[in-house]
Amino acid sequence: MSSATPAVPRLSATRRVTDRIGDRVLLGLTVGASVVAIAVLVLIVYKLVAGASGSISKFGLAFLWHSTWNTSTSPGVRDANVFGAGTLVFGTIVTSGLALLFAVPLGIGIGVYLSLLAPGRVSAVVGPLVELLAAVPSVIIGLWGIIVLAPFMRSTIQPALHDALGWIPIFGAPSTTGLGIFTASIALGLMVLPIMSAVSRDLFLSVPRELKDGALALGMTRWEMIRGVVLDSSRAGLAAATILGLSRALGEAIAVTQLIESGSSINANLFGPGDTLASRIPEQFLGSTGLWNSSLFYCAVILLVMELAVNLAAQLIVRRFERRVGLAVR
Amino acid sequence: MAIVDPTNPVNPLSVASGNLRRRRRVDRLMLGTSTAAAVLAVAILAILIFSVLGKGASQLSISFLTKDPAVGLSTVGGGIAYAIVGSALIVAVATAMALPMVVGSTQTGFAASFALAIIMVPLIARTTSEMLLLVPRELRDAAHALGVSRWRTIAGVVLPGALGGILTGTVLAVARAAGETAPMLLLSSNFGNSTTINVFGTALPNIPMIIFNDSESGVPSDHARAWGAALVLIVFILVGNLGARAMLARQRRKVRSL
Repeated sequence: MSSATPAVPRLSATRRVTDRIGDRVLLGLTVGASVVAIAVLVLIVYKLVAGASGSISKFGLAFLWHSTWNTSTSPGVRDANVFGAGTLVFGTIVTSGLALLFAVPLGIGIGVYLSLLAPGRVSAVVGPLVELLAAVPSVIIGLWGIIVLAPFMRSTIQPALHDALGWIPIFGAPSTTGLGIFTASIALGLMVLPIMSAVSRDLFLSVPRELKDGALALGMTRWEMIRGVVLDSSRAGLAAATILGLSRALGEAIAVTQLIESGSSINANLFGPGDTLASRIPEQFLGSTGLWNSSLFYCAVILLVMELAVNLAAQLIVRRFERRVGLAVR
Repeated sequence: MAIVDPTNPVNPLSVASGNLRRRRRVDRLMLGTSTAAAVLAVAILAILIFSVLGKGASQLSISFLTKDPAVGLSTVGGGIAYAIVGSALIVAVATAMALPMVVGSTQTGFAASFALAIIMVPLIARTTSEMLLLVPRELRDAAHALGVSRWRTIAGVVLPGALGGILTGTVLAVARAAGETAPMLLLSSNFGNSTTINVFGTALPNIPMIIFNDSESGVPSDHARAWGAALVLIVFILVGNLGARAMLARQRRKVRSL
């Protein structure tokens, strides 16, 4: 009997004062930290919009497609102090699109290999290695891009593409430095690749084993099983992963700044120079004044809206997918 | 074929058609492609690492790590000590930062620290909450049942259980912040040529800016310095990441055994 009732310290009717204060302090600290985090976010948005207000009221929405970017303020110059982000919006969309074009199929392929084909030990080594690619700072990818990738592009890849497909305007004359939209897009693709491969590997691993085994038992080859069961049931997740990758590519500034050659006109040739919203800001922010500075803030606002839309889209897809799966299970 | 899998609208027969030899060829081709994709990714990482190692290692020496750049017209020679000290300070202050401050318009090491702190907060928060949730509910319930107050439960049971995870999140965030360049370009790029520890007064030299500036330069000796600095940075980041992974694996085992 005595062993069943261990010595319990007598509980007083009211809790100790220190405990009550401690609870309050802890709650205050954690709530305070969350509020600070949200406040910083609100402050950032406010500062961006306030900084951009001059340019917003001057150029309005037409800023999005006008491609003049003239920082000269002397009155004699044509279009002096007129700004538009057309070139930058174009460059952002093209570089991000190309990056996805490289990274999505490659990433899904790596996901298939790691989750379904590789022996356990190989995938335990290769998986983290691919993820480590995400840890390499973008400035080092940019340095590598300038010194290793660009010369290779100039001497080998770009001439080959130009010779074979030169009749399409996007494969125009190779650039003299190897830098430009195409090289920057490949660097962006390298940054999207680890996201794409890690997410698709996890998605494929989560496909129920019974479905995979069932498909194989029906006499499917492994590829038919992958296409019919694994890829098909992961479609929504893959779409969400692609959008996550897109949001990474849209916002990358430094490597693009190093590799894209800061062009100031819309150019069909992918090997030519260009610029993106994210890279124009660090390139020009220091030393910019007045409307010029305000226009850079406007670029940041556009980028913020794009990122927000992209992230919302990813959440919508995931939610719709969860509903569908919920129905199927019921 | 009356059984239809609701999560798989594709009729199995529609993908498994054609003759056997063709099916086997397609199978081999697609599986080979996917293996090649993985090989390619590892190859790219290997080329990247070997570029940095190959070109940076020759640059690396004691004096590269401990000396400031040579002053004068010829900027050849000298080291990146000032950038290592500056980077360490900026990241350390960012890690320690708890109070909200408005980003100043002038360039200071502190402003850069604040920007990095903003980047680090969600990283640490995500890992921390994940690790806190891993601590078994029964432990918390047991503490509640014994009449332990909430803050004592969290401080005495939940936090120690998740400490490894929180450390891991912090290490990962530090590794990530150390390589951030864009905030440095705007907030701590206008620095001099010598080591300084004046966090609040001036822009601090830092490794990412050294790499950025030297990569944009056309001078070969600048490129060499950029590779050396890149090697220092990448070693720091990879060691941090590998260490964090090892710690996380240990933590998962520990929590599971609780």
